[in-house]
Amino acid sequence: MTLRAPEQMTCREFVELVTEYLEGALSLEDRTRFEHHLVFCTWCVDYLQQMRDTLRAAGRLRESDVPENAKEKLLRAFRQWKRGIP
Amino acid sequence: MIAYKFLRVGAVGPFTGHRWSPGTWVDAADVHEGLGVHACRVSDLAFWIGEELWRVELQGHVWERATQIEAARGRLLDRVAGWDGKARTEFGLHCVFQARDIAAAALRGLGFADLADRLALPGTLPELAATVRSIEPPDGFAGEMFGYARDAAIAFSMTGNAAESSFIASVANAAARGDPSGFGEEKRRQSHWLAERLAAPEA
Amino acid sequence: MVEQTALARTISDDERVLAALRVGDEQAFLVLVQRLHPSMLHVALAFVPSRAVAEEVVQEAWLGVLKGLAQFEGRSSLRRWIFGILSNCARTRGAREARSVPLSSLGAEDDSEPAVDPSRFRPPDHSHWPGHWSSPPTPWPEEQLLRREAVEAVERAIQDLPPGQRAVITLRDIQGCESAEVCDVLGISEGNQRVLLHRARSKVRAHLERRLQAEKPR
Repeated sequence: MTLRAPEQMTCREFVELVTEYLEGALSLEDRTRFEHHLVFCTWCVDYLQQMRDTLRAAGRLRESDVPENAKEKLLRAFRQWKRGIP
Repeated sequence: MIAYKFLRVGAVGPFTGHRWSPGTWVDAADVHEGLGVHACRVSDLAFWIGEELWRVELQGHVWERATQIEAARGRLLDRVAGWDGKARTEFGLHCVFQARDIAAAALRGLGFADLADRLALPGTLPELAATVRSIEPPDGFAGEMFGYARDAAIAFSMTGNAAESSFIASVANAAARGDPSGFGEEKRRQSHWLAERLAAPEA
Repeated sequence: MVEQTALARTISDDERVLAALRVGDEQAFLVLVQRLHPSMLHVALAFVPSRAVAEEVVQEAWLGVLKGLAQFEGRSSLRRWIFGILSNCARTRGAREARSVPLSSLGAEDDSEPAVDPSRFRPPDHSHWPGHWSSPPTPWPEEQLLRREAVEAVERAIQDLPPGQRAVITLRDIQGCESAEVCDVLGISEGNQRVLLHRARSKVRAHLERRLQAEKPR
């Protein structure tokens, strides 16, 4: 197909451009080609959604565990610093 | 100026997710960056097949791009009522049979008269799907052309994805012509078929 | 409108946290640590060669934060300020440890790293639809994504990333930093940042896909 209509994006090219698309960094031409592809290729629509799901899932990691010894050290440092507060 | 716009169900932008409110003017961020309000001329329709079709009014300078137009300001006017699920299916079927016709013509030209006849015979999608499944594809370019008819028929039977049959028929045309411009040519032809079917006046 | 509210929220959050820290509120400090510490480690690891050194750098950064609290004017967000301090500590220490590999190349070692295994597409010389999916993705059910297993899979995938990719995805997607902030903290260009982010997200997506596939009932 690439041979027949070379300006049409393939799925393989699509998956390489997803991040740039989400960043708004594609040229107008590439963005249009990207959108043309989304109109008919439901698989790439799913892939784009998966990338969105992935970055949203990463956002849920904001609160994660701090090892106890690290926490203790920091608490000690904080208490020491506290004593210096006027 | 008046133009057209395909949106998702609920007047939602397919790429931006923007919720359009009919009648409310929308000002675009920066038209020069391609972030303006996008819309279709009649000849662009087949590139952007979506669930809802709206007439839109654009204000200010309009940039003409290859397959869409872009303006600084736009608003939805009204739905093109004729564009519903039934119309979308009809359009999809139309494109399937376009792919079939293009393939049959190409095969005939390549000397595969019997195959072309068999392909040209079915009048309904189930018949066409059954036919293409029963045929052993030839080699080479003839096989490729046959493949477009087969893929269009089988894919549409399974998913009803009209935009996909539109795409397949357009690639088939480029292949048959031996020229990439055949893709756009078929798209525009499909667009005008659509416009007539919807009795949609030229922008 | 929405962005304005989010910014306003950040500013008032920052003011609240700062006020609490300045009067020695330990709970407020622990909450801040909980929120930032693991990400700070990921960022430090982009500059220094070992986990042990990275932990020292992060401790040092926190000390720097406490020392600077009284003078901090709030011209930038608290998070940006803290990562700025971390970045300085990490760079200094990194230089001392004589890390010769520039950050921009971290995670860009393999220049031909595709986002998706090429065998999932029809080959370029295929007679029908070359470059299109041969093993297409299937949509992920929302409820599966919200489960603990999915979050853990993402966490593990990020931990397994090369340091540069890990640092970028941590700042962008875990912490929600803007790309300019990330480029500042890591000392890389916009283009570089985008490549690292692309590779990171692609790998994490692939890992998550494998995990979710494995979970599917037969």
